Amino acid sequence: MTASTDSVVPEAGRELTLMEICGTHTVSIFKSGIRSLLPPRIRLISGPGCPVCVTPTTYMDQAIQLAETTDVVVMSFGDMLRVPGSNQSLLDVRRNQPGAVRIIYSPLEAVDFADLHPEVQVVFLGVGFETTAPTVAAAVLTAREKNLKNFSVLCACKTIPEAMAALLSTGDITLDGFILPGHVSAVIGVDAYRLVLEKFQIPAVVCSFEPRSLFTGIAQLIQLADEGRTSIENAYTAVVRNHGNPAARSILAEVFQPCDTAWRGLGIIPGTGLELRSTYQDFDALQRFPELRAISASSPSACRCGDVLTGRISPPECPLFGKACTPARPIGPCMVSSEGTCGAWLRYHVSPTDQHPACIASGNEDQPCQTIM
Amino acid sequence: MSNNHVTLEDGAGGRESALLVQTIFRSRFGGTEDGFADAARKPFPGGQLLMSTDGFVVQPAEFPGGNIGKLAVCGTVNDIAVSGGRPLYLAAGYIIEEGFPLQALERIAEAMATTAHECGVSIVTGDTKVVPRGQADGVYIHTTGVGTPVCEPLPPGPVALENGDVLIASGNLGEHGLALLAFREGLLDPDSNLQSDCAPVHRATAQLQITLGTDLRLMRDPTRGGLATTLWEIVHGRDFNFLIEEADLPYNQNFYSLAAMLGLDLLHLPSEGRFIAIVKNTRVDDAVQCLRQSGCPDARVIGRISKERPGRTVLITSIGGQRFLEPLAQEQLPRIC
Repeated sequence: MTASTDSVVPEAGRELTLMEICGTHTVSIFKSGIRSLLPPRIRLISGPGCPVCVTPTTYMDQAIQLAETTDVVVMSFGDMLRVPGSNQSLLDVRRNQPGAVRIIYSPLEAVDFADLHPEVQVVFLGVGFETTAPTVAAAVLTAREKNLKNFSVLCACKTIPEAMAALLSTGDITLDGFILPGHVSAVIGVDAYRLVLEKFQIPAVVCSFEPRSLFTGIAQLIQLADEGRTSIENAYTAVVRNHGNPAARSILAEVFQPCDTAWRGLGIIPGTGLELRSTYQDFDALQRFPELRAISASSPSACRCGDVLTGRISPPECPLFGKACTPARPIGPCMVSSEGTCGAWLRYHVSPTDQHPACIASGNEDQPCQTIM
Repeated sequence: MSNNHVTLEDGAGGRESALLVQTIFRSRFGGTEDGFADAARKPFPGGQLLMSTDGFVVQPAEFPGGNIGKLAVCGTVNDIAVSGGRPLYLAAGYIIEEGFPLQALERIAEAMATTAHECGVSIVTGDTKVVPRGQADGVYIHTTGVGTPVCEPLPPGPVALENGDVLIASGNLGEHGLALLAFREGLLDPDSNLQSDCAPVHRATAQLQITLGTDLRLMRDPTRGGLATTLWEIVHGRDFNFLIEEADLPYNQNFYSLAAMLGLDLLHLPSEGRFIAIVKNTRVDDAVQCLRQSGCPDARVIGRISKERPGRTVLITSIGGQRFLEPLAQEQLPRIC
């Protein structure tokens, strides 16, 4: 293998299936070309670590209804805007009403906006894992401090370790190792995985995002699996500790408590959601806008995002992949999120069997690729 | 395009834009057989005329490193330059919203005059309209430029590309786009040292043409949609591809870090003072040296033409892996985490 890396992965050996959970890892692995450097016996599948991808359609429909409500401003991380709800996306709403949906980089911006604009109700779309949830908690605490009456969060934060256990408990997939998320682990610590993974006897390595050290971390995991060892190791020691970040976790514990929540593709997984504690119920958008509870949607029937997210199929095995479902016209969030497996696969994957991709990306394999210059 | 109306994606510079231009305009206009080149080349009594036109709607009108006026001059000068021309005359049209501050308009006009003078072009004719408040966003400028060939024959274009031809970038990528975006979001001060790279390139392009003749196959300036989109425009539907070495791509380290923090890709962000050139591989040293001596100290080889993956751009990553580099399909939205 002719990689300019420090690690070597042996070509020969048993077939291994490894799952990376974090959506940023999915994209980093593609963008760094790591897939093209691993021997054919290594199968890398992507798990449910893209927070946008695992958000159910019901939540999108709730967010869209809020955006279309007079005097409500929905504020969100940019990645949510293109996700399709049952009929449209937040981007579509923003086109018609530019002020109704706004992109922000931090939940605290939503609090500042609410403070400056008492005439509108500001709802922040609280989507993310343990990396993001502490900042959402901080936003709620700040709103409490300022005694804001016009700020709330539509909560959809989720936690990772129990979801991993649920995945392994389905029995549908055989995994030989986990590539553990970098920044989630920075918050929850390496120890958080030990209980979950020791039950299933699977090795795992916390990996960073920089191409060289990410490759090293994956090579480390492959070595563990090849040797039949089931330890959990840390290849991102610059940022991740065994005990994680206690300050972040204490903010989380102050504001949130675990609850059951729906994951696209996995159904309801007990204890993997985060809901506001009763002290902070005022800031729950579902309390402030109870009509949202009546909304219930199902995913488009042909969409296989759920199977992709749980590693049951790879993106090209979805019949809609690259045809009816493309980044320009997405059916499910896996194609539209910048951290979605399908979008990454379509954009970056170089394989020996690639079709002429201009045809694939246009969604119509029969159409000849026209020169337009 | 969506249902019966134009969408923002149609203006982003990638596939959607190309489709709009083809189906609405090119299908009706004669005389656009040159394809998506940066300027038209037409016979003219006494020789050839190069002509280019461009609209400027940048928000905000003033930004670190320049303003809409400087951009309007450089943009059209550069389109003629990368098409092999020496720009001579510009026309400038203005659509101004009622209430736009006169002092800002003066700064814009001053920048246009200064930049035109530096470029050796004259703004010889123009038009000004004012529309009621709310019907334009500050000021829009449209410039049209004409020029003559620096030397002949002009760079032949994509039809002349050969396996092994080399791709050169004149300098650091994506700076105008990132500076604008960051400034607009309040992440940069007006006097930030992260500035737009807005600048004329015509002297460097002229030197390159004179030095290489037709061993210079083509030049382009990577504006809307960034380098990735410009490369796609060249290879799309053809039987060759680009192989780009990620480790060789020129970036300013501060811009690179800012882009990474925001979850944006410099390869999809426009430059307004850079160009790419494709040259015959035996002339690559002459070309790079010529550029470095012509005001492009960061010019370097970034890739080459290949026939392995027709119609695509393949990026060889910093660790020796491979992946595709795609054009911008939609406006970039910053990530969650």
